[in-house]
Amino acid sequence: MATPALQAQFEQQIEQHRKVLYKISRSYAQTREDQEDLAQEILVQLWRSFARFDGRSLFLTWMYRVALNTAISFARREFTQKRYVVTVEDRLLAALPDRPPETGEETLLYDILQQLDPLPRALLLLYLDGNRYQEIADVLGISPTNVATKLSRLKETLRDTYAKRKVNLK
Amino acid sequence: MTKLEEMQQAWQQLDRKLEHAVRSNEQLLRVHSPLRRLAWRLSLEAAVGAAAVLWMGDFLARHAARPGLLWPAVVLDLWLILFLANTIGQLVAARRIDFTGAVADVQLQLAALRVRKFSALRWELLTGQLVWWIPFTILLLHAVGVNAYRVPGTTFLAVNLGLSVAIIPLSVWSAKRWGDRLSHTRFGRWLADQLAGHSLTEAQQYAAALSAFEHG
Repeated sequence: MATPALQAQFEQQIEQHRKVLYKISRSYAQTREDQEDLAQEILVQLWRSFARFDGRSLFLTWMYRVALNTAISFARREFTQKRYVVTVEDRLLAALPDRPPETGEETLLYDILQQLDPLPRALLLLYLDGNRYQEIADVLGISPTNVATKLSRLKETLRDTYAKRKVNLK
Repeated sequence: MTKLEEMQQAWQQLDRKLEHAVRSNEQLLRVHSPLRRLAWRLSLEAAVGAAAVLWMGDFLARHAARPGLLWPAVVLDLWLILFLANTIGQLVAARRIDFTGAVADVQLQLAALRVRKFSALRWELLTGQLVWWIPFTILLLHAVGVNAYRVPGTTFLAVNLGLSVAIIPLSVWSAKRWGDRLSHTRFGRWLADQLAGHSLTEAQQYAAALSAFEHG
């Protein structure tokens, strides 16, 4: 049973990293409704696992892992039904913040992310979020060398795509 | 500056914008684990399977001296034992998955579970009709006091048993050959995909892609 203190601690942590929730949901789900569902699914999974968070890794690393695992499974339709009902038993903050209007370039970034397979998408998202190779490696469970190699391949792949589509925006 | 760095700059701008945009919106949610539903279904299947295995074991013990009833009971019991073992295997694998683990590793475990699920399902579909037609009918008729070797008769049983065996490769072949035409409905498409092994192949390919990602 979750204590109010644990819940408060969880909400405080989530509040600090709410942007991550937003960006991952936006990158792995197409429609606004699916993004809401995914964000809730992530939040639920985070909450369920939070009691076991031992602080050995950074909260953000831990959050990325849970959120990306949930998002990839969601994108692959491993969860097919909505399972949310409003109750007074389990109180959590709503998953997704109000969505700010996007510029063309921001939409383009998400479009490019969504064209990638789920794991390379996670890799790029972590990189764009400013994580170091070691941090990316910790989240994904691959070596930092592997991260560097894969990012270098992504650079090649995205060089033309991003440039052409950015020109089209103007 | 590379395109990836340019993208990163644009992303950081977006990040700064989100900093101001995000705010709490209190709402109440009920929590469910993503794999909980699967675990419940598998637990239920395992319970039903275990009860059926026990019941068949008891039936076997009581009819060990009657070969006409013994062989269908052995076939059915073996099928149920394999079904139970498969279900328990999937349940254990599902319970081991911890979403706080490294992404590549967790996704690989999920993919392996998917491969296992499709593989078991295909096996159950292909062999199920063999077991749940003639052997089951013999036992069912016995339960209502009818000797299946008299009515409908040995010839009927033998022909249908032969057909049940022949239908296995035939259903795989027709699902591969005419799967598209047969799949007008969602269920038809699902069945054709399972029989032809498309879902299993897709799951295996995804697992292989994940493994390649993890190992460079």
